[in-house]
Amino acid sequence: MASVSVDKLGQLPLLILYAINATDGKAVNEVHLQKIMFQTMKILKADPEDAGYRAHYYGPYSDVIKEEEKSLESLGFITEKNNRMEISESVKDEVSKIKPPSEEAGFKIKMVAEDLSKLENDELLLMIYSDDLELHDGKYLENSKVKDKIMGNRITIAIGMYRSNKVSLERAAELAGTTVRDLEDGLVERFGVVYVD
Amino acid sequence: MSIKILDSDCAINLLERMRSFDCIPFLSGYETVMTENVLNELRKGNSFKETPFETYTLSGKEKVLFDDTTGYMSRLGKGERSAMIHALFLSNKHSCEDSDKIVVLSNDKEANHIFHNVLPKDPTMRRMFPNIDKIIWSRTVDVIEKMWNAELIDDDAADGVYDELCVIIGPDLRFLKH
Repeated sequence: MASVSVDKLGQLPLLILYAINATDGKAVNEVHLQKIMFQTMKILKADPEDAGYRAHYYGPYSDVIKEEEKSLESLGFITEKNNRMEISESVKDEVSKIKPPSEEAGFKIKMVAEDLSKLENDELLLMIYSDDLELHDGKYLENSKVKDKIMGNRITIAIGMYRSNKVSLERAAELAGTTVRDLEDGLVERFGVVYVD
Repeated sequence: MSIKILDSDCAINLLERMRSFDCIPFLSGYETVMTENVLNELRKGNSFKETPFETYTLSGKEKVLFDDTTGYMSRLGKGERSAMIHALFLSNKHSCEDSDKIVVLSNDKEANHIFHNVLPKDPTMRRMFPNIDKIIWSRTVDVIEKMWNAELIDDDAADGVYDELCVIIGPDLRFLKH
């Protein structure tokens, strides 16, 4: 049981709990949570820097989010196991009643949480890096130590995302930094077909 | 009746390939609209530069919504989102009662899944576009199957295109192999 009730929590910890709960029971790791909250800030039209986001080892990272996560863990809302966190069993009912800032924002946060939590770390980083380069000129990537590795392997990662039904072919082409036509050719070359079952 | 086909992911390439086999007699009867995002993609190394598509630049309001979707529709590409948004705005211009049709064409299974199953649940879209159910989200394979069932594709044409299209669409096209 948590040591305080949900209604005593501030807006940011409530959002963190809402986002983790929105993954439909899928445990998320630290990278997932940081990136889901980064996108959540954008959905709420808030500047991620206001939530402490800065360029870090894996791209956008917030010490504020990390501190809130630790606090939620010590209060008993989050359970961490094998570097993955989930809503503690004893507070699931209470957390599921958290209201999002609006119905529309809630839908979008849920969509982001569901989609990003399904991604492997390299897939998640490719998506964040690719979008950051396009939307923010790589502002959050300047300190990333893995950017070159991820971006150097982007075609293989993007093809894997497409073939596991995580993104559309067109989105995969964007993530791969290539065209739909070239990606189709690459798929035919590797697998003999473009489509996935 | 007006029919607008919005191409979301260069799916029109596929229909154009079919047309080269003379088995899309109706394509010229449609108004095919492509957003700039899709056209830019199509321009890269394709052979259909002379096809008379109407190209469309998203309006200011459409662009605002497009940018908004960038934040949470991470499974779709730009062309897919731009075609989707233009179709939604077009649906506001068409009354539910008339027979005008808006078709968003896509090759991609994942994109079509989102158009069908996720988009209609989006409260923003439902609020802004009350005629959202009027839009026909169609995969090329569905169009081809309808044409086959309507006997617009003969056996020789089906044999001619099957192997090529099957590489792109997959076993869903099995009906062509008779």
